Amino acid sequence: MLTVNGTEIEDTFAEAFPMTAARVVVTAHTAGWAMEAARAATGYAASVIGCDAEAGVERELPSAETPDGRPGVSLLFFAFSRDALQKALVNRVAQCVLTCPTTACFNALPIDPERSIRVGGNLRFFGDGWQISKLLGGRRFWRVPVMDGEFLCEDVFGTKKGVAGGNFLILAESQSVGLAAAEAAAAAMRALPGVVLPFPGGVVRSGSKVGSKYPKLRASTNDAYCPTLRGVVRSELPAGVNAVYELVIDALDEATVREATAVGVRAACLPGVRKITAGNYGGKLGPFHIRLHDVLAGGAS
Amino acid sequence: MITLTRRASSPVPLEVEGVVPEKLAALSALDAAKLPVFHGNRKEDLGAWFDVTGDASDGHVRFAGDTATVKHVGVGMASGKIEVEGGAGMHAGAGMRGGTLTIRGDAGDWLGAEMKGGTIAVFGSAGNQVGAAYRGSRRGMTGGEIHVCGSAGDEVGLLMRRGLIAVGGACGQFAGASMIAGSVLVFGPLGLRAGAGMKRGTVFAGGGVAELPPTFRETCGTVPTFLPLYLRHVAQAGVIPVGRAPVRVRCWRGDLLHRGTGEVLACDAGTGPRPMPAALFSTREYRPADAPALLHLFRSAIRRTAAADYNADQLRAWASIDADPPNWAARFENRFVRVAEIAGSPVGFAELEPNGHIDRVYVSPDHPRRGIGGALLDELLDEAKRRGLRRVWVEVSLTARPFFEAAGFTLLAPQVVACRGEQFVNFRMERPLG
Repeated sequence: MLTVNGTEIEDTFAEAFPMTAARVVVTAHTAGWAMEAARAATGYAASVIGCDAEAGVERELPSAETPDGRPGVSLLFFAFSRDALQKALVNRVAQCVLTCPTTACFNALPIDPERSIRVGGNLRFFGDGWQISKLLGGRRFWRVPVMDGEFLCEDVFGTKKGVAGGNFLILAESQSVGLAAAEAAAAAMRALPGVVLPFPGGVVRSGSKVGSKYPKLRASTNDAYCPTLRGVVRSELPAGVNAVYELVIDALDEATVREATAVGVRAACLPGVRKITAGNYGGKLGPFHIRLHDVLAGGAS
Repeated sequence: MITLTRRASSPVPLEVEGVVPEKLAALSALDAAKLPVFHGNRKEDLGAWFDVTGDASDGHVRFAGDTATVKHVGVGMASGKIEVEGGAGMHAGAGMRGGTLTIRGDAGDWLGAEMKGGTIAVFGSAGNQVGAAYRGSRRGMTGGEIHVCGSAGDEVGLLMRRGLIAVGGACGQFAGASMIAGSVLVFGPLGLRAGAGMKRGTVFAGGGVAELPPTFRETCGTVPTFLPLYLRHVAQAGVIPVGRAPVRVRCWRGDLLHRGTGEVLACDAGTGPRPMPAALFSTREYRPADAPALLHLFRSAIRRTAAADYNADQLRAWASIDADPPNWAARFENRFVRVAEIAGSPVGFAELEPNGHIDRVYVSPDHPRRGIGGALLDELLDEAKRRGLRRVWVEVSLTARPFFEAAGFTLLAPQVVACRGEQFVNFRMERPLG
């Protein structure tokens, strides 16, 4: 049995799947306003089960690292296709970034013309004919006049195949212990580049299974991991476990999901955490299988 | 690399049209020496005027010797690299489609005229009609970039359709005249009638603008978010040393004879992005004899630096605070006050009160973006730590907020304060001391 700091690591795997990803840099007059826009643009983007995209804040950027020399935030967005990603990004940038004081919006992935999506090129029409195009070093930017000056947005954004749905579950003796472990895991994973945790605070309490007794529902509560249902359903919870939290990981590639899983699991193994496991669908959903024992190899006791 | 070293100079211009990397790449030095050039109106061999050594299989051509009267260097070139060790005559890089042309000395008129692509770098100055359209043509440059470290003459960017022209020094009259689109960035003073007849496009005047055509309308003062991208791009080209910090400009739209979709953006003199020669500053303790100079500094900082964020009545009220010299001098008592100076003259000051309140941090508007404010603030923070304070706090203006935010202060609350009948928006901010 593999353990880390006394916590059992189940020999199982997380099942992740490919999604189309974009990296967006939002800048503003102050770091506070950049983060306001970032939080709004990545809101309601927890799971593609119910949202148009999955998204999160990758990291804050100091002025020296942004295209326009102002404080910024790097965001990652994930959707099932380029079309879906373009639609989601155009809507989100239009409603949450363009509207936010002093912001500008830049692409932060290499551009392959065959795999790019048009964001600024769609938003420019808000300028009602007064928008200005600037072509600099092969990149086109749109300057859209707004009431506090101009909204600057890059015309085209690059995309790449990312990996979404990496996950692990923390089986804890109590809600407070489980939450502390989940927070520690989220903090550790957020420090990695190329990773976002799309759920609120990076932590999920409503893990789901595919399907439902109600035919219209695509997903419903993961009853096997609900402590209040132990004894009335086929529970996966060992004795003494009274709360479970899930960490869901979206990243720009599989290696980053694996690294984040390892970092997160190690950070989550606090006293009172009985077991770490992962969610999968028998290998039928996604091509990426993140085996917990594999990713921890070399770092476990 | 093939090197073409001019053997003898002549007052009669020598035209080297067709001596371009893509043509030389397939030729030996012997064959290259047989390429035709024009000495005045006489057709002669290249080898009659140049020593030809090496080969251009790597696409690299170097001109050496006295080339100031050599015209048409790199005309129409599509790829590769031409390097001119000295100056170049008229029409250098005209019509070029790609590659890079570097001129270490000065360039003559019509530099990059009607060019379509590629990059021209001139480390000296350029003549008239940089990137312009030839007489009778409908379009000037339609792509590519021209960077001139020194100054440039008249009609820079005449009828340009696309691309970038950056001039480190002053520019003559009619820069960007009849521009169709594109960007002309001038970091020195801009001559008369810039942008006359422009349809679209941007003329930036980092060193201020003299007189615009009457068909331009001033719109606002603003800090354009796109401009730092251009400044960084220009700085990375390595020809013109400019800073990339956001700059405040005054904006004019025109030419209203057309649709008014062109723009001239001009910094006030002395506030542009070109770094001034580095004058070192030092810091020291406040002395009572500093009070009059600091009052002058305080008022000029408010009237000039803060003018972008507050109206004239507010500025007048603000600059009048404690304006009586005795009151002003008394403000510095029982405080930790540091003064920055250059050549013995105060250029900034900052104050810390015993309770951790940072009362004032002011820097002379004649010395912006030199790190003076940051250095003074660091000294206050060090002193606060030395005194065992757990936090410092400050009430900052709209103008100063980004400075304090960059220094790690967090916003507690915006507030409205009254002063001499005027109301001001400012912000309470604090920074814990670890």
